Amino acid sequence: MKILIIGAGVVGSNLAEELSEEGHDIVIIDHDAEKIKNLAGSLDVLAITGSAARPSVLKSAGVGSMEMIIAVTNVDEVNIIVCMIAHQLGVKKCIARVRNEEYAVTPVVDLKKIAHLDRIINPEQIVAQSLEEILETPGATHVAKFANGQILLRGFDVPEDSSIVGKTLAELKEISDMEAFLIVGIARNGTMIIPTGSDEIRVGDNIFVLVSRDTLSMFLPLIKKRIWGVHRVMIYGADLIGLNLAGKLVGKVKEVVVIEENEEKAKAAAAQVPKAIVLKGRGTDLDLLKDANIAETDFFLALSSDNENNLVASIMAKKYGAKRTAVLTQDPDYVAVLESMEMDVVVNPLLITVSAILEYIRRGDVRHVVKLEDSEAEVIELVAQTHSKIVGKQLKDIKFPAGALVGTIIKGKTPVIPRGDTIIKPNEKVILFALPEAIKKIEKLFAVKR
Amino acid sequence: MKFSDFIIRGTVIKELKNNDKKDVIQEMVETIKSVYKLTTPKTAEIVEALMKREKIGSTGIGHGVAVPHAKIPGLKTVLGAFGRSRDGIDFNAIDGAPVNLVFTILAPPDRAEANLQALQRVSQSIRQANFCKFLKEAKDIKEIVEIFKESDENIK
Repeated sequence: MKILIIGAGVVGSNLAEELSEEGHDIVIIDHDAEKIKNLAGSLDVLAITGSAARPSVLKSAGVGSMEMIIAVTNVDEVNIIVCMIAHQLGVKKCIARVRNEEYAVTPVVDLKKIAHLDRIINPEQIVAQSLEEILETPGATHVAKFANGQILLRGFDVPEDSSIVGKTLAELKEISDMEAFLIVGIARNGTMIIPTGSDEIRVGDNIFVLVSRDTLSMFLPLIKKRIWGVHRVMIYGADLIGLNLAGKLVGKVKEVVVIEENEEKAKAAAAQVPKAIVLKGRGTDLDLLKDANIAETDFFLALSSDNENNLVASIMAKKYGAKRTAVLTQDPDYVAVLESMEMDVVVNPLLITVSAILEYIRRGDVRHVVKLEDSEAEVIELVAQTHSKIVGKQLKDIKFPAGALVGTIIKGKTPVIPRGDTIIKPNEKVILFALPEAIKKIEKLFAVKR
Repeated sequence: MKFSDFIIRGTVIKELKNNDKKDVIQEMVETIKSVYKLTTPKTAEIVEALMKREKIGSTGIGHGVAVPHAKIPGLKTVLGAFGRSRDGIDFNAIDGAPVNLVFTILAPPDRAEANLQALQRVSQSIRQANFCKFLKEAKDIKEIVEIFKESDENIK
């Protein structure tokens, strides 16, 4: 696909790198000649210096032949205008990053419609959403979703007191059938095992499970006897992300405390999220943290716009009793460092924006793939095509490669755990777990016969 | 699937008589059996099937809700009951909190989709704001049934 990217900041250049590696033709425009020079030197993309809001610049970039435009400059208005012009010049798909909440959420302005945008990416909303997900599955080592969020992939370390320790998958079959979950991978001693019925779960395994979103809560007790729910959340920083998250959480957890240094922002927060307790002060002020009862806090999230204060505040919160902490950093280079410092969750809005855009682009394809970080295993979502080998036959009659497993089939709206006599029908979504050596064979099974 | 497909007025228990986990399950199974005039399987067998699932992992899924469920041989459709406990039941729930709202689901062995849909129905509604709160506060069985009905209308 020919894709035009506007803006060569962290988001734009990361997108350019990922997408060109995936084989797309990338043209990228930025007004900063230095950035463009660096990109042109390091990536196989066409990099152009210029102001993208000018039609002449867009034309010189060959906008008319582009299938998609992604506008991710720092300025909302530039992103919107560029997309409007591009639409008029014949670009079919337009994606714009828009951070201003007034554009992004109020129903008064239908920006998508007036600017012909296919997708508005609002990083603050995405970050707040992903933090909400993390709060909802405490104790998971990996999280990803498939089939529009209906099916979840979760990784868990199996603790000593887990009731499934010593059980084989066959012994769990009756439960897993009814509750629509399947253990699709077991990482043990550095090797990823694709389990069969006779494999048993052992202490220390890192298991990967595909589970229906609706039955996750019933699955969790099989792994862990107790998960301390999140009842009290403290958020440092009443900027967009903090406010957004506070708004999402007030109905769900018992108490939400927001700490904000700036008086105006604190007042605005109290008005916008009246059910939260808003305290004016610095998140790095130990007396304030103690007064706010940091020791009784299940989750402390440092989400202010100041990277360094966030770091200090979350270290203090952890030291004085917060059970878990999340820290936001705007600088992608900080992420690995913070992760090595035992921060439970490290959030970088720029990287999250990149993955949200990539996910959106790939959704158009048949394949949606999640690679598990430490192993080479992939979880793949495919749509079964009418004339492929996988459809119309009982699964037991299909020669399935070793190292791969059908996890879930979405039949209608219901996720189904496959059995030997299950038949996959055309257009059903199938979620598979596969080791690298099996992926090519899987692709053949799903390929349309010639 | 709707609540009304598996929980009917007769299987709503305004206040459970028992507060021990197994006794509560038995009380609810007996209610289902008498309302649907089931003669087989024996109450003890059904209770055992439900308790077997509880032993592997509690269905006390947090926020004061438990959803004991199991496949029961011989059933043709999903049968359910709902019961309340003001004092709370020690269900060994995942968040350690006592359980006030119990949804018991008996599932036919070969209707995987319907069984899952019943579990989904419960799980989706307890995530909705105020659903559990209203169930706890409802004055009588009529109000409880009304809450299920409203919830059925809200979720397509």
